[in-house]
Amino acid sequence: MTQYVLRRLALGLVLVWVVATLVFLFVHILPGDPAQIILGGSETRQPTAEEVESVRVRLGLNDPLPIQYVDFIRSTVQGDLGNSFSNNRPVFDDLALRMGRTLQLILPSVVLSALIGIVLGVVAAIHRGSFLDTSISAIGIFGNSLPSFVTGTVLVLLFAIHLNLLPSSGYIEFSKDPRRFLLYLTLPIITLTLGGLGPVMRMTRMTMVEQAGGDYVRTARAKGLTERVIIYRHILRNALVPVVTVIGLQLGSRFAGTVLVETIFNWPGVSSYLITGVTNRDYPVIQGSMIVIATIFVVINLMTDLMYAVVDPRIRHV
Amino acid sequence: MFRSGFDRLKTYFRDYRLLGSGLVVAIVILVSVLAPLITSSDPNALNAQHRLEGPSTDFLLGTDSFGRDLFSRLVYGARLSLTVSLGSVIIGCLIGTTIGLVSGYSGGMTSLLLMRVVDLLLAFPTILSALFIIAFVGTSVTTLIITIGILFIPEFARIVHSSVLAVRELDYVSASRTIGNSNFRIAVRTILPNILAPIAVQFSMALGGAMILESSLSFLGLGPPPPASSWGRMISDASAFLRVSAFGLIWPAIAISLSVLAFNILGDAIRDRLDPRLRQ
Amino acid sequence: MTRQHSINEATQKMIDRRTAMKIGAGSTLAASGFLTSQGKTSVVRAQEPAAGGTLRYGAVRDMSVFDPHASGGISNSWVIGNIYDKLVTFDEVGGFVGELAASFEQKDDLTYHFELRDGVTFHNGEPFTAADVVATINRIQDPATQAVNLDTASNIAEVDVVDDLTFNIVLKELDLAFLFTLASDTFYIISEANADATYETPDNYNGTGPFTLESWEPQRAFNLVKHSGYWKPNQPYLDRVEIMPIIDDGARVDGLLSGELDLIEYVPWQSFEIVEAAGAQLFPSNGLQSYLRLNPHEEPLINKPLRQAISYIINRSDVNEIAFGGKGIPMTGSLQPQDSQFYVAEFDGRYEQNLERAAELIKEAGYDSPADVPVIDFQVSTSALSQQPAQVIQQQLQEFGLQLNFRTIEVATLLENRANGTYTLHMDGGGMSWPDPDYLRSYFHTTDGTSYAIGVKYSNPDLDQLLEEGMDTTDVEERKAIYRDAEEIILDDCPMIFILWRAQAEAAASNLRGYYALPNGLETYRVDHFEELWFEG
Repeated sequence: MTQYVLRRLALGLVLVWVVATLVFLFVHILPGDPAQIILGGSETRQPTAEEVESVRVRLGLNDPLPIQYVDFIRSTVQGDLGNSFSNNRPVFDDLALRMGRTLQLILPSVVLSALIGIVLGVVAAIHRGSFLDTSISAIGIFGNSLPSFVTGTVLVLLFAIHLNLLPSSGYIEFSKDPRRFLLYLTLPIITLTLGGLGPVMRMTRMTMVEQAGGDYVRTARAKGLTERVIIYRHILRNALVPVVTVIGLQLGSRFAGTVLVETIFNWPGVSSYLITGVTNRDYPVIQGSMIVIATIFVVINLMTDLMYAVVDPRIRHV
Repeated sequence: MFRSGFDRLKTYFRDYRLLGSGLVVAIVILVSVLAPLITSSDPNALNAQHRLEGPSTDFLLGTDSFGRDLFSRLVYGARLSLTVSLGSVIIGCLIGTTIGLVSGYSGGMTSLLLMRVVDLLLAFPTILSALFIIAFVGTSVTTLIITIGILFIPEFARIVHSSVLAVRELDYVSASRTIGNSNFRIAVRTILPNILAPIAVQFSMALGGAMILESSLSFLGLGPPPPASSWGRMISDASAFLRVSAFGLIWPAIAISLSVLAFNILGDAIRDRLDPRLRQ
Repeated sequence: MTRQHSINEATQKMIDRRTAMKIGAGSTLAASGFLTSQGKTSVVRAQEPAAGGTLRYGAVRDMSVFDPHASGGISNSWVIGNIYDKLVTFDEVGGFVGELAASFEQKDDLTYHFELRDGVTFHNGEPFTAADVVATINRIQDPATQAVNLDTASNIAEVDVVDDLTFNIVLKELDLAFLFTLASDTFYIISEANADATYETPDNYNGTGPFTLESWEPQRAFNLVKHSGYWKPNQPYLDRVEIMPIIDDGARVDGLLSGELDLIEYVPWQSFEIVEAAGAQLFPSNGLQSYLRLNPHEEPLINKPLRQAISYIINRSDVNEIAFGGKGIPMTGSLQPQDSQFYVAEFDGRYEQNLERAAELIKEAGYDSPADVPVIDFQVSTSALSQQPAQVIQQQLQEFGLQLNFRTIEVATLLENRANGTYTLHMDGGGMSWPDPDYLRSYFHTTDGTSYAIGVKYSNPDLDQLLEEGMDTTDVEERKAIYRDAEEIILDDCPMIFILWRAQAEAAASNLRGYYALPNGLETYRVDHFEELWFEG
């Protein structure tokens, strides 16, 4: 078992390193000069070639690529993700800040879609084949089909513009004004939850239906256990494993996948940090964000695999 | 296998889900193909005097902020969305299937490596990857098709890989090998037909996913350049004027939702039809 | 000093006209557009300003450069502008009024005399004297500072200090824009003691202004507090100012309407009605332009008749309607704002849409029909301010029969292309470098140009000469003639095609008093000193 874990860990590290290298290459191939952007594209005044050069030197952009690469890897390993070109602040600090804000969106919505999804999935499975089942499945598919920006924009139209109940976008720290914070949080969370419901619900229903046909269920029934006990204590418990996997995957992919929601609702999270970084050719921001995101994936993937390995000994030898 | 497959076709028509979603998909396809016949107005013609109006006799579904006819934009938008979605899924399918076949059949180190890379690509939020590729190659219909196509390779590779794994050990494959058939022959003649079903399901689901991705990218402004009337872009154009007129949002929202819904339900229906096969 | 002083006549007359329009033939003081007394002009107050309150300001951009002399870019002036003072500043009608200078006069073409206020101190307690001005100028002159006004400062031959509060600045060459530069947003006066300070973060600020920086939450807010020792009596009225960068226009407007913000920068035209309907105050202006840049060395735009044809095909008023809600001002002729005395009425309607003329020009260019013209590569940035008009223009050109390759380019790439001239047709916009016809020089002069000519290597020696002559004389009539000729060349040559004056605004809560919009052309130097703002009721 430990061998398996170590092997996966090593693989994970390699992957993060690969991502870091690819991103490094990527940003340097991107057209567009960060120095130009820093000096500003003021309409009436363009920076001179000398000014641009001096900024490039200051940022270390004129050093030969291999040297820049080595510096980059070395400082990253030490935990230093560099300073943003735009505002000179440590990328690590800003990322932590932004990460917190993205988590404020992801965690509640994942939990909500998990809870609601499981409940709906169980209900659908129990009443399999009935109208209830079909309608719940319909909701699930519907949620899956609507792109988040469609859901989000329609919600804004309904609640912010027509009914004027909620603000259409924005952010404020919880510590500054808890009430307004919650108001700002509502629509994005609803959007994300609706989008995440579908897969959880369908997976729950599917695995429960699968499990219900299993031998041990027949045995349990033969033993005379009540239907209720069978469902909740046996079937659901077994069915939950893949469901939890789905939830875990959602958590992972959500980190940068909240791009659309953060855009529509102006939520200053990791996605907008990354996009602004790309727009501004802010190399440290792009590299730092990608490395952190990749690491999160690797960790979540690892944990998911571990869980599988715990459950199914066969996999450990793959 | 195929013979019974054709027999099944008849029973497909009795499945309501299949019928309904298939109908919607057919409508979308027809609308895109026959666009010029359905609407005679130019989707890009500007009308400064008729901006943000609701449905009227001149403009069936109203106008957008540029005074363009929403109905014809919607119709041509179907063509655009479908072209991009179909094109990209075909690319993803072809390349992904090849990779999946190679990986599934060779096994060992190649398989492990390929699948690990595939897994990482799969777990990575597709929108981010798309953003990166686009920052590089720019936005045009062709690059978009290739970009989204690349992003769908992992899904197909994975499905094919596991299907191949499952099928590989079956008797007829070993039998085929004992007879002396080459690996390639085995792969194509025996394995491929058996994985057509999962591929078909994946294809339909992927179409929905590609449509979502394309409209999301268009919404972010990274889709086909204006004045292309991608549904996603229509929505982002309309977002700035929601207080004045919501029609610019509503029609494309319905169009996207129905289309993706149809693709997903179609995929589901096909999968349920072929359930026994997928149990492997 | 109580004498009326003549600043260089050109500027004075320019301001005169505006003043007369704004205030009417009122007091002589106002009509001269130029005051020697302390404080600003006639802001007739309905009641006494109330002290207290916190102003929450919504800015467009976050600060990234903190150096008071090197930070270009408008959004930086809110923080720095409230912490530092300048020698002179703009008043409500765009005239010059003394800030740290109690009075000033231009003694001759090259000499400016300043008398400083007495009793002004820096935030750290040190008294303000002429030595600080010298230190400021030295710092700006130092190339290492990379000051925005390096050119102007390099033109200073000497600073002749008479005593602690009196000095003269002598220039090397005539600079019509000298006072303007002093009043613009990067000639802040620092303390001699801080001459060597660097500004990687805003922790080193030490100015003479109405507020000090209490704290800084990166990317969230700058918190300023009242400096009770400010030299203007009873000011600032406000206790605190919180400056928050809110990039998204919609969010900023919402912030004002929901009561979270009291004053916001840059209201897009789409929100004008909502803001007014909500009872907030709107301060609109039309000083920024929307234009096309053409590369006269790239096919097919190398062909002058083709360039002119494009200008004739475009229906500027449709672009205005669709892309700017009709709130802009189409530019079919003269390149000066309509209220400028340098506005050339003779050119009115010159490029009104004229499709027949365009067709003739296409033939003159050597093409049988528009379809024969090679595809034109059209670069447009992702910004909505460029995208909207660009789409309308593209549509109009394509309807005429021309073929365009519309490419949306990220700002980063666009900047690079602009600097290197790697584009054929390019949609853009921006402001005049200063509200004087001389602004054309920054676009079109072969070597002095910083914004267009240098990138595409546009060079018209006749135009260059005119632009140089325009800055060599103070005679208004002479300048009018010179710039009329210059515009004639530009309108004929069409290296850039000007579309319209954009509309934009600032907005304030209904209970905020004391804010005003500077006249057109000074948008980039909006009120950046909040000591006069107060809340009523």
